[in-house]
Amino acid sequence: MSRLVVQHWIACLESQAVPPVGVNNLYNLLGVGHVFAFAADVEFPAVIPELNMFARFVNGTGVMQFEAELVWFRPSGRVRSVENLGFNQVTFRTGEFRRDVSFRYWNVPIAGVGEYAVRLCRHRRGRLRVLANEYFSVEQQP
Amino acid sequence: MNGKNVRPPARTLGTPIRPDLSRGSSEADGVNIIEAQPLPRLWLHITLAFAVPASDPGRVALAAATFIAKLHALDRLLRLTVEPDRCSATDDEALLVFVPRRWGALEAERLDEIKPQVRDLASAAFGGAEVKTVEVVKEHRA
Repeated sequence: MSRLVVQHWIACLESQAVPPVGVNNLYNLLGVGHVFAFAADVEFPAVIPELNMFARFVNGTGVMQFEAELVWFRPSGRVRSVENLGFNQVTFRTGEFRRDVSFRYWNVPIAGVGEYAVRLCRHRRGRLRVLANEYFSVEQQP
Repeated sequence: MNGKNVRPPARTLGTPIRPDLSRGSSEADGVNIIEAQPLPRLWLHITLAFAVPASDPGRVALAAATFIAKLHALDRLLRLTVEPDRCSATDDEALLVFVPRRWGALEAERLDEIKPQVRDLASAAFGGAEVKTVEVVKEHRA
């Protein structure tokens, strides 16, 4: 049995599915980057108003449940889970070897400057399995 | 080139996005972009009522330590820890608050499942106390 693989897990500020609706929509990913810069006058905790995560799944079958969580790597080195961004269910069509999905999260909380990861996990037999990490850093402009 | 051998592209480009349908409001976006709501934080609240104020601090400390150790052993995946800021105590009542390491859909299910066992553990550990409530409190992000 083939194992589910996440080929891409990409953070961007905006994603658009190109119409018309279909099984193989193209996606436009806008604002792909690994640094989020907040203005100097922003006080933390702050939010990223919209964060889009583009995923390309390979070998998906049936209905699968996923969770995405935001992890903050504190400057002290301690890992702190900041937020569970949400629970998603994806239905894979029969014979669909690859599947593109874009997840949209609103008002993603940012506790402070530093390194972050958006972690995609899959529910399986009552456990969570980490499928992919997307790392980015948060900076504050001087 | 023989026209019969010309295969269509795997993906058609589709129609351009009209300005009024851009920014996440197109039909294709609605179908192909999955929006997720953050999952609420979870807390396990245990309320104990004491008929007679506890007079022996040593026994109370021992009961608390025993209870916490057994609670950890009950479900190690939850990794419950005491949340001291949310705990409170009066002469005749105590509120113990525990928080799991993560707060996802699986953790919510597990917490609901262990509630009856937590009640039994608390009754056994705190002999002179009545376990008034064992509840999972969900707190949505503001």
